[in-house]
Amino acid sequence: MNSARKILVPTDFSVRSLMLVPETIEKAKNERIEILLLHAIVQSSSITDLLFFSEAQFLKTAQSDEFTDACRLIQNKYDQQLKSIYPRIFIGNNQSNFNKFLNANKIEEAIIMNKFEMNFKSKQSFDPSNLLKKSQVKLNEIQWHQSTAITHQPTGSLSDLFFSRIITAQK
Amino acid sequence: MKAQNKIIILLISTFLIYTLLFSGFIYYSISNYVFTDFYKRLEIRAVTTAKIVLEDPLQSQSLKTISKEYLERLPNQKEHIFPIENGLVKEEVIGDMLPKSFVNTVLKDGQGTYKWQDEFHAGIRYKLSDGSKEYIVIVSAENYFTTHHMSYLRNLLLTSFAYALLLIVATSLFISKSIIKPLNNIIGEVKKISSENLHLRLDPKDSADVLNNLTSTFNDMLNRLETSFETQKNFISNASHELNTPLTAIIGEADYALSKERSNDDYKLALTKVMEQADKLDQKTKALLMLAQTGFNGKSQKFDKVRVDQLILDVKETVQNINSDFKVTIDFSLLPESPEKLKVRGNEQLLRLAITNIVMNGCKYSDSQPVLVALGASDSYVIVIVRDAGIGIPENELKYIYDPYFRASNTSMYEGYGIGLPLSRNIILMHDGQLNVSSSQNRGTTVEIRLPLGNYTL
Repeated sequence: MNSARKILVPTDFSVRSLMLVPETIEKAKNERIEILLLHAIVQSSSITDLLFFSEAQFLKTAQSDEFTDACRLIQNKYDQQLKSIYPRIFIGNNQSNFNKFLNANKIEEAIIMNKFEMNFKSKQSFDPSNLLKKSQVKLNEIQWHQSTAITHQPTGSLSDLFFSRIITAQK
Repeated sequence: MKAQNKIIILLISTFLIYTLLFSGFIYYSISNYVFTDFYKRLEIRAVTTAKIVLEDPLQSQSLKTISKEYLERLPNQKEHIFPIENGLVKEEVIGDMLPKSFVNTVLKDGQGTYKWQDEFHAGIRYKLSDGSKEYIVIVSAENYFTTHHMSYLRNLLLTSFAYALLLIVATSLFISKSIIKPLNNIIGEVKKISSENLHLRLDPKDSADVLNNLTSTFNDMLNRLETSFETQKNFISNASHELNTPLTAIIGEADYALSKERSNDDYKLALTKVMEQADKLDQKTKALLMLAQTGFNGKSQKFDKVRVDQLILDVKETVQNINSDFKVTIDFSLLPESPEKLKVRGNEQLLRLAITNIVMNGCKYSDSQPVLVALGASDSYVIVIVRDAGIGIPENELKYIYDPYFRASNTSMYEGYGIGLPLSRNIILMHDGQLNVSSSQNRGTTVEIRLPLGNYTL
């Protein structure tokens, strides 16, 4: 029971970036899954930032209540199958460091959302897709379907998570 | 008696009794102390006098100088020395100066005190150092210091008591006012609220005191009152709106059928149509009446375990009974696996009314396009989301949507009274939940309802 497939999903801490998670879990059928939500940031060169940087603190301020609620929602929905879903920060934009990070976290799979534009709150953050593409990890590229949400406007809130698949189904 | 006066009297009497006891105790113990102290001084003087007068003058020379230099004479100080012969003092020696009983006490006990008017007497039995003879030595003096100081102390205590009285009255008035004032404020605010403006609430303060408790209790009561009021209004508004259509259809059909002689088949057809409409009417009335139940069972509102998924299904049925044109799509894709996460503590009828109102609003203002209803649960909330693709709400009017009788500027094409949403919000608030509305004009509205999980285990 303890062995679970670990899947990496890049996130900008918005509910939108979680929309493909339910689909991914369902595709895995009955396998146990662990989802690591990766948020990449560039190390600041300011000495005070370096001194006082704390990963826990950064995670606390970066995640909105809606984001954490959405994570809990997904966890509750797939309680049996989903071992855990948690955010992680990768600091730096160095490819070899990134590979080491993937190794250390034993990640073999990642999801990349094509045409998904990340919307960052902090200037330090960046989209780790390029790093992922150059790594040895098995990539699942999924088309991001923004256009489907025309009839029902996305609000950027928790509710988006719900209807994403109804809309896809209607299409 | 007014509560304010009661408080004042209570405070004043408590303070007064306290001050009286306090000053009385001080006066009593000081005067006691001063008496004993003065008798001690007299006794010492008696011993010195005896030594100076009765002992060998050579030996007592130094004592004499000391007493002359350092012991000032007390006012009206007198010394009496009586010799003791055969264990008795001769009566003629004593004379009228002193009562015999006092002399006898000194003779018996070796010492004694006696007070006559302002004169204090202290006596001792003195034995010469060679042991040959015994005397009784009595010193008397007026206690000028005592009488003077004690009267000064008495005056001091009395004046301070008078000042304290003033202070006490002022303080009691102030305290009673500061206690009564917030109560009066609450009374004033409550008087403003009547059935016409039940949506007004008292302003709760930050502190967690009894008055704040009173305010929130009162607000809770107003919430319940308003909810039941609005439920009735809601019923009337819905009924006038929804019951008209089938009634008109029945009347029209019957009128048309009766306008001239017809064949049996025609009558049958007309009656079937009337029957159909009557059935619809029946369903609508039942659904509306069910919604109109306020959840009061005569005594109190019952809060019990409610399963939200069942509730959503009931809502869909109710909505479609009220108007068969309304379409509701339910999305259970994010339904939590464990049913524990779907149970909230609440009143089923009220919650059903709240969600039905929101869904019906969605249907009404989107010209019967399908309305999406979704359900999910985080760790502390059950989240119900209702989304329509209707006319939406203009952004600058979003802040008014919870005001009773408010209707957005783009709703003139639709019938309504502006009762539904404030009512729903009230019900959600009664359940400690949250209601968020986000909307963009002409694109649709999303309503997010969060109800706290009931912590029911299986």
